[in-house]
Amino acid sequence: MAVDRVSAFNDPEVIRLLQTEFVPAAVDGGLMRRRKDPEGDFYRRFADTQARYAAAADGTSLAVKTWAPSPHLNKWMKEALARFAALPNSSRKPAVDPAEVGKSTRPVPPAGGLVLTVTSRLLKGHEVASAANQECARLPAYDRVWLTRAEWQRLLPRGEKSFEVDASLVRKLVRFHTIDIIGRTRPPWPDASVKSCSLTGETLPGTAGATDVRLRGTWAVEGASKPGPTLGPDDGRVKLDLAVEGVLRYEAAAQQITQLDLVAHGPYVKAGRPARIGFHFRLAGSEGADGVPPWAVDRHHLYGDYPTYYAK
Amino acid sequence: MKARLVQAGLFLAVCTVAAAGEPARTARKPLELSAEFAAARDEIAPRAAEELWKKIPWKTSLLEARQVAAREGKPIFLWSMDGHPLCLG
Repeated sequence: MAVDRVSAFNDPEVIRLLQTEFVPAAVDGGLMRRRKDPEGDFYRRFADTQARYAAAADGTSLAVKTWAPSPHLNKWMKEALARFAALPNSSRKPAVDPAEVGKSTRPVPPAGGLVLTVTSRLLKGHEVASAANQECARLPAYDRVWLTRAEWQRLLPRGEKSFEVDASLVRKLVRFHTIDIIGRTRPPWPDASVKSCSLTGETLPGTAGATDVRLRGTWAVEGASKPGPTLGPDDGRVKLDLAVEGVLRYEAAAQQITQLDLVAHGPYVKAGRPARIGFHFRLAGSEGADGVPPWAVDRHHLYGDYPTYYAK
Repeated sequence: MKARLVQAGLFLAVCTVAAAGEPARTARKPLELSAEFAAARDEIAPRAAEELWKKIPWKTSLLEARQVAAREGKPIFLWSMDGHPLCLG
């Protein structure tokens, strides 16, 4: 997917067409095919597998393309536009019930919660040595963290200068968000594979009206990494040793965390091959990708007996 | 003239006092990571050339895309992958 993102959508003409002539949407088809709601119903009217689709708002299919580098995508899009132009107005501008958007069952962040973006990357000099898909290995992967209000408040001190961040929260970050989704899909780490997950906070001296915290810790994972049958290669024994540091600012007047930067990086061994990997957690913005649920959410159909995402 | 100068001086004095009492919020410096971790963060961070796809105004709700497409008379371009296409590596 990373290679696809970078190669197919770096063409200026493709970008222009998607900005001006189409309404572009991106979805997890694996989940959408199973969705029993108006969004799933609409998806199934013209889509069923991994591909690019062009369709009218009434569900009329215009074109399907399973994979295309950008020159072919460019041509394919223009052919779809020509077919769209030939449709009757009732297909091009159908009456659509505005209330149906509210009937989607897509997961949403917890009310009062905190959304983080986590970017991961195999670090320089180690990416080629460690990944089956060498092109993907050079590119970043993205995920999101959803924290409930109770969870993110556990990142804050309660008057003490030095404190241990709640262990169940840290374990959630390690199990679900230090997985290698660079060029592949992976389940969360099994609980028994998490060998250490410490995170200590130190309250920093005074910014008026704000609480500033420095976070430090170590996260270690070791165990077999055998995914389900549809989830890509077995990495054999996997070992991850991450040094962690972060900064956090909580503004009392707004009752919000207004800055969070947490970096975890270190050696990563899989299938006997050494690598180095890094993860950067920060507050999510308002870009489209930031609205996508965490990879870990809603994956029961892949992982069977699935660990609960929200820390108790 | 003298009265105007006095008034201007008083006004300036009031502004200075007000500014001094202003909470540090507007001048609040972001917190910094240590050099080692700032370097790691910078290495992890996507490069501009890797994120041209972010120039595209992707909707992650197909129903919202449908609403806009119907209103504006445009076709939907849907990118569907197993695993969200905007996310996994």
